[in-house]
Amino acid sequence: MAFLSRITRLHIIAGAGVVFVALLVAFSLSFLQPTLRQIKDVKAQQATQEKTWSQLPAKVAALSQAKQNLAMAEAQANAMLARQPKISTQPFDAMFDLHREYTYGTGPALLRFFLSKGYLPRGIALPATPFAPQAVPPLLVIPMGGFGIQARSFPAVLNFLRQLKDMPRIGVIGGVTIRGTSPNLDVTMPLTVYIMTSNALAPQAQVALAALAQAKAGGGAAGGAGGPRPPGRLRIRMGGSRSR
Amino acid sequence: MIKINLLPAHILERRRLRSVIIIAAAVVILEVAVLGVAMTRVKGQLTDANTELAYWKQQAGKVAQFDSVIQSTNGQAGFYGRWVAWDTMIGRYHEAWAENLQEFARWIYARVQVDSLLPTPQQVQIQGRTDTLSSFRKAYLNIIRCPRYANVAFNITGITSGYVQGQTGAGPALRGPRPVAGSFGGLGGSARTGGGFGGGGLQLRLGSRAGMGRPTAAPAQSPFGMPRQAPRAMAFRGQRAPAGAGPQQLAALDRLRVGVTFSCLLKPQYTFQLIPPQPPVGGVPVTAAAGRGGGAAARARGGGLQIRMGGRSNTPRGGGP
Repeated sequence: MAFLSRITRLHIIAGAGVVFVALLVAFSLSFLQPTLRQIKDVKAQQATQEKTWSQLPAKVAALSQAKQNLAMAEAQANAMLARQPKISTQPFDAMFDLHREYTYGTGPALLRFFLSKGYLPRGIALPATPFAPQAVPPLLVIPMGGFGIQARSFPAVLNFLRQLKDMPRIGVIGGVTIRGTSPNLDVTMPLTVYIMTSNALAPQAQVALAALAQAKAGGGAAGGAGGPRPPGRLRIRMGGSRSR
Repeated sequence: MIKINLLPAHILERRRLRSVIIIAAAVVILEVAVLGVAMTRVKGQLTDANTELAYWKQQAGKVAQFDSVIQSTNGQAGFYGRWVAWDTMIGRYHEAWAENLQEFARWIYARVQVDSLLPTPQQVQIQGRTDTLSSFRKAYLNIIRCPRYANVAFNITGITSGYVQGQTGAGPALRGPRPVAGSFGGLGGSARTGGGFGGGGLQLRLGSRAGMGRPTAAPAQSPFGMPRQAPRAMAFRGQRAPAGAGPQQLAALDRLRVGVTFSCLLKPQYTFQLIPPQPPVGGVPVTAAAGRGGGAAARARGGGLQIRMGGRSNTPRGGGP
């Protein structure tokens, strides 16, 4: 009690003030400021999410556009595939289809095409097909080697090259050489014919293509061909010309 | 009335202190209460903000789903697009060949009879003949003006230079085989038997800026042209040959004694035009094994395929078209 008798009003007011301020400081430091900071962060995140959400109409439009592009590209690719000869995806049937196509399809079709354009081709030859069932790749390559035409004039050569876009098969020529003099210009060039099989647009081909693109993007050495590897006893050369 | 406080001073002071303590305690309690309310409100705000954030995250997730679908759709379209682009590029590639050949031919001087034009993606080799060294000069000055060439090297054959005692003129007469209409070349330096200094023919190989002066000749209007003296049917120009080449025409051919070869290096931006477009997936050549129906003999007979299954032969009747 002797202690209390020495306490003055000033002491009490000062003590109460200290407690008051200490409570305020403790509240502010331990709760108010962290919580306000948290709220600020959440609001910022919310603003970001709202901004993302505000892009929805643009995304809807982009999706619509992408779907249109897909439909158009798919239609074009299917139209391209429809122009190709039918090669079965079943290895056994494909063996006969390949024989039919090589023997009665591509060769005669090319001959008819060149003759219809007024050029007499020579050296059109297709290799023999294997008589063993084998997996059908998305793209068949028929390296035909060199073939030639006789042209009467230089403009006729140019005209011939421009007409190649109408070839009945997807054909790509190599280096063109011109020899001789008019009207006996001898034009020779290698020709490679490509045949898309129905596997070309199949989902597994898409996966293979995506993997190939990834490998290329990653700087890895991509394989020469995207087609499935055939069974062991089948002879398929990838990317090279066949040895004679 | 007089009011007299008889309380001792220390008791009075204690009472005052008590009231001050009560007030101070009340203030502190009030402060705690206010802070409690504030805490509840701030916590409520935080909860609300988190709830809203969860909602917007969900909405933004839908946008991300859209992104995923768009990416997948674009990927699929790209897959089909690559096939279509390849097909389109093939058409452009063949067109580019025609355009390039036309451009190469455009800069060949009219008095040069072209015997062969051998373009590759890297360079173009033009072999031909002309009548005089002066015509060659003009041909060279023409050809270096072609904007597609980075460098032009040349080779001259068929003429001699130097001096031989007892002979006048630039050198011995030409003794090579007479060119025949439609033949390739025919006037090479190696075929001649020249004598004297430089009797093997003049062989030059210089860069495109060989100090031959500024280009003066205009580009030939009709590229694969012929010297005026030569029969026109010999040119690439396309006129039909007369029924037979007469002695006068053959004599004119003798004037085409300067054999020229131009090796023209293409500029990089033009080399790519002549490289075949590659298909989107690697192609697989499907051919029979060598010695099993393949080979040149089989190719010559159109494949030569024989299928025997179950004892019956389904060899194509008539051997195909």
